[in-house]
Amino acid sequence: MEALTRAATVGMSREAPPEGGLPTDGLLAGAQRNPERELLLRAGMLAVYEAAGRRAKTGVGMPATAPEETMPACSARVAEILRPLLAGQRPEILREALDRLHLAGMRVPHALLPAALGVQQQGLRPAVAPVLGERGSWLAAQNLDWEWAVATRGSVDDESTWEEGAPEERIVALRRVRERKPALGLSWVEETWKSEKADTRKAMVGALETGLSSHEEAFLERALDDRSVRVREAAATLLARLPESDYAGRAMARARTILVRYEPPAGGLRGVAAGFSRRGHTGRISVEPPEHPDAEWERDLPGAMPERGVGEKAWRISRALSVVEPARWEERFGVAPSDLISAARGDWEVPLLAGWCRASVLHRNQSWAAPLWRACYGLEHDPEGWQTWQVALSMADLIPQSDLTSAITRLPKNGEMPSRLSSMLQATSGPWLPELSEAFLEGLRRRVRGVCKYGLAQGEEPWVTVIPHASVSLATECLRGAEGFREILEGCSGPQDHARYRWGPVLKRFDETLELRRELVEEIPL
Amino acid sequence: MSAGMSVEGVAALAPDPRVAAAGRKLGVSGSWNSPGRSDGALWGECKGSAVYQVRVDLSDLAVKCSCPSRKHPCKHGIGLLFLNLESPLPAVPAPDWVTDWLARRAAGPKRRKSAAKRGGTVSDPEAKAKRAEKRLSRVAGGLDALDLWMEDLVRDGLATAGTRPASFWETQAKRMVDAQAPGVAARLRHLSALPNSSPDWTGRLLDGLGRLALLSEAFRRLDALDEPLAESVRAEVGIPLPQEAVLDRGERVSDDWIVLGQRTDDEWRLRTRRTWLLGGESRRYAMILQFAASGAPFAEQFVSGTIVSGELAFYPGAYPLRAVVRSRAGVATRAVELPGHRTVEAFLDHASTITASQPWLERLPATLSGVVPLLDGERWLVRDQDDGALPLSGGEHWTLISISGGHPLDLVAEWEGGILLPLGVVTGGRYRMIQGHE
Repeated sequence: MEALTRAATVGMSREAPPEGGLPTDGLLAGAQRNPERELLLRAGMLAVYEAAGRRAKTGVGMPATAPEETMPACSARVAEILRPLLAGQRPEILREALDRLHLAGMRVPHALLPAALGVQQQGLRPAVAPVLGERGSWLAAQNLDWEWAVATRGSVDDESTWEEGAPEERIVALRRVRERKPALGLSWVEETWKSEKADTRKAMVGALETGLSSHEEAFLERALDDRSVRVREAAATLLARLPESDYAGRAMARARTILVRYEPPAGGLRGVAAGFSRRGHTGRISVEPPEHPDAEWERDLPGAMPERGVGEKAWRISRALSVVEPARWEERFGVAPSDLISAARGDWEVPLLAGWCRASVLHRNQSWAAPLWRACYGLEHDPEGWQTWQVALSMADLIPQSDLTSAITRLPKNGEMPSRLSSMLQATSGPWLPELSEAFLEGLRRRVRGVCKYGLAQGEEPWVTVIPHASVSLATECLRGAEGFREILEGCSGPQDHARYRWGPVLKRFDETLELRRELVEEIPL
Repeated sequence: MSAGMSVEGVAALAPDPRVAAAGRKLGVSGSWNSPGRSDGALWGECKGSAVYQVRVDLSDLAVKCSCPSRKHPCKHGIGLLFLNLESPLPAVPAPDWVTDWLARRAAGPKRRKSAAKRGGTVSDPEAKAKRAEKRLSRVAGGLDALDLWMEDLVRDGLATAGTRPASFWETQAKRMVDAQAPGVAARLRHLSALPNSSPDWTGRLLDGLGRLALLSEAFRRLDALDEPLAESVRAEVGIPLPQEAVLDRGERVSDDWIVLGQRTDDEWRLRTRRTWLLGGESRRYAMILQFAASGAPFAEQFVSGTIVSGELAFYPGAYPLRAVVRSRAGVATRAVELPGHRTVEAFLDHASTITASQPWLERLPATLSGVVPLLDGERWLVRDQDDGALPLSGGEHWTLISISGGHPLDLVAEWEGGILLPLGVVTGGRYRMIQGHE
């Protein structure tokens, strides 16, 4: 065949094909043909001859068989729901479904394993891994892209992952070791520290958060002199969280030069006489804006530049406060958080609130977060107030959900929601507590009826912006009965067309999402 | 008893995924007034913005609904099938609007046939023969021109074909269409994709041109060929045989046909569907070829992995494979096993016997029992228990491997150019469609 192909490729005007020698040549006896025709027919016959004589490939080994499954597969209906979710639609619902499968002791069916192993968002992998079953790890071992699914099942030990793995895998392994043996993890970091890239060093410092204790202080202090500003930032964050550290002492000493004094509210008759003056009822904090930062300031508070529109002094106040555990102020002035927060009113209120908000997040201080968010909620709707509110949103998961619940139940009769409440709800991770979920559903019903009755709000509709997040965050217990929101809109007498236009698609999707979640709950019984 | 269907099977009947999803939602008892079933049909009234009367003929899964939807079958019909799948509907006497429809359907094919007969008596047989002759001579003229064109190609060298524009092939293909040889035109279009597509493309192109040369050679000597082979050659060239003629004169085989699998190609706003069947008794393979404009339904509905009783009429040929459905009876049931070749060698013997009788047949059904799909280095293969292996089509086959878990399964595939293109598998008594190549 090769000789025929060569002649045909370069052209028979240049090279003649071999005469005879092919097994099929005998068939072409008789009639006179031109050489080109002869070549074509010979090639055709040989092609058929070879196709008919095709042989099996031999010497291929059998693959190892997968171990027996120990968990049952989910129902066919769940598989049908999972397929589009695994293809990248609605990651929150996918996570819920996977978590629920895991809790129910079930696995995804074999036909879906390639999609499950190929799931796009890496953050979902920890939820995928436990529902892959035996077949999943068997399959993952055959494709390098799926190595993560083999590793998380513990078949590769952490030490070799640390020494040979990809950057993200090494950090995962480091965190795992830090959970069991924090000192060993620290020694791994110290051994390779000098030869790592800045990004890796930063991630390594981040991993020390797991099992963090004063044993890390000396190392973190050294990291505070690192070449990379991001490594220094990460180290400062952790040092601030070690209450006995030298760093925490320096931070407090620095902040005390800024918040110099607290004056309690004037008591007795004078206070009453002061009447409506707010100052009469609250205390007062004296603030001394810091001078130019010194070397220690630069070292302890690296990176982070003031946002646009924030003055240099205001920025430094909030920056200095942001690393100090808020509880220290209660100790220092002997007053409750809410008193201190209301005493912040005045020229420096915005930077004080912003600094305390950041500090509450850093130190996960809930007793400060609750009064702080209420204070920020009431700030003026000006650029400064807006910026501080953005900082306050980072506390969302520290705020008691009962606060949000009562904020919703207190909404006016037409159900309109302030945009700040909407943004705080959007920042609150799911699953929400049942009481908040119920309040949300009730509030939404009221709002939809309100839209029917009183028409749309002016401008943006805060409910509409939070509905997509709420649909995946509402508590599972509250899904039953949470139906028919679109029908309320359809059923009400004479809503304007633009109300239908604005709300209709949002509510339709809301109803669909809840329906999908209800179905998952029913199909995956716990 | 659920008409032998699975959730996927019902979903596959829908014209698009949206209809499948909408039907799935309607498949709950709350959406229906007095649904019921008899031996051959399902029916129910679906409550939507209006009440629609929905009925399904279980013998061929034809759906009739009073809704105005342009999609067919509509979501109501799919919903009724899902409803029956969830929990079988009560067997109750059918209302008139169902029995009337079934009666009209039973009368339908006869009506069509009598119309065909009328057409037959009107046309003049002499004029018909004249038209056929004229067509043959046009085709012969077209093939003469094709031969000259191919000879020029090998004289100048196939290497030059790699530098030709697409119009070089398309012009020639159009000439074949004009010469009323659409089968040849399709082969040319197929070949036009080869240049520069792989390192050995000149060899593969020469293969294809060689087979075309064999076809034109055979066409010139039609009179010397056995009649079945002559029929095959005519069909390969693209001289059509009216479906009515096949229904009337084609070889008829009644059997319980296992629906092995189907493949649908979407091209040029035309959908083409091949459905592969295997006779449980006769052990004969059949291929039902259907065309539909995109969005429109195919006339015959099949659910892969079920068994359909009925009579097929085969197109004549040296290896009759293409067929049309003459009649279907009863209700589809679920197939639990596939009779297939136990070794790769046995399948290859079977395939070469067919190639020997009809050398232009380029696509065959393959059913292989007890094979293991695997990835060997870079090669995707299936291997039998006897050290014989065959390559799977390009692309990845992880789903196949995952379903098998290294254990043997029964595979249905299309065998084309020495490569298997999987259509479905049976494991543990359950049929699963394998969709495309991932």
